[in-house]
Amino acid sequence: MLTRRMGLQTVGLMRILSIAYGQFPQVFKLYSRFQPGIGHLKVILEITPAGGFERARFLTVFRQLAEFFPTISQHSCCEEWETAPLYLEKEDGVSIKRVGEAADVAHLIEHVIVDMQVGLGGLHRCSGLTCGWKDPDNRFDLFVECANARVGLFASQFAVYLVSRILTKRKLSARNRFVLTLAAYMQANPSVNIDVPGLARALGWKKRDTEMALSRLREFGFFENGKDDEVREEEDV
Amino acid sequence: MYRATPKRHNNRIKQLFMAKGLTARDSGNIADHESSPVAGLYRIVLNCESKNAGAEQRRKITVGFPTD
Ligand SMILES: [Zn+2]
Repeated sequence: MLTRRMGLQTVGLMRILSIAYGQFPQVFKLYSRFQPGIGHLKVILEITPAGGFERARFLTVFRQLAEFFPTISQHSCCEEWETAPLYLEKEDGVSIKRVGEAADVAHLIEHVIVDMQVGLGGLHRCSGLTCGWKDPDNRFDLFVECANARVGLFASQFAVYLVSRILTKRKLSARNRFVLTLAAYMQANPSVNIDVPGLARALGWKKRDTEMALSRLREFGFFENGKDDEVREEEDV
Repeated sequence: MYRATPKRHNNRIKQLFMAKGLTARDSGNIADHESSPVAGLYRIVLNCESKNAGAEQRRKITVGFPTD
């Protein structure tokens, strides 16, 4: 059962509590490979219920996501943690490691957001962290490098939506590709008019598909004014 | 380098979305960015990275794919 209220406040098994963007200097203590000067998204997510996330389900979600985002198969994951006291299962052909708990859902979402920062957000490389709270143990902070807050806002909400759809429906509708393709088109053509007939013509789509994709972009914050900026590292004076 | 004065601190963080009915305090210690993430707050931390993608791996715009 998919529950949606107020944009993406609650989607099925998960709830976005907040999305912020800026400089979080403390994250460098958790991961040394973050690029200096690039802002981070901080997405706080709750996953209900906190419970098992078995292998078959994890692989189903991963494979569906990899169809949509082929480059996630080339991500590196948890490389600094090989000797950590943490059980990470490595599966052949699966770039994202499985822990076997609710963190896996948050982790998959984080990889999708990372991928979209490269595909849409103009970064050549992007790193992210999934941090599971001690209490409550179903709460996660995702930190993802981000060069454009508006794209980050969209990517976070779209990623949660997609993973939730796979978990509740088992299969992603191919129609979601329209959303991703339109986002990429709008990023590549920032001065294009946001009108359905013109976009439908330019992309060779049916109007109703164009309308659907536009309305999803709106819903997920893609056109939010005043958020299309970068947070720059400030200098001591 | 960063300056951790409250004034600058506010300039560095933008709230893009907050679930309805929640306050910053409810959503965790988001208001307290200087102490979050703090050591000991998390029980698990997973780090991830895209490979160097470059322009050649940028998603191509495709049109006319089938719908279901
Ligand atoms: Zn990972």
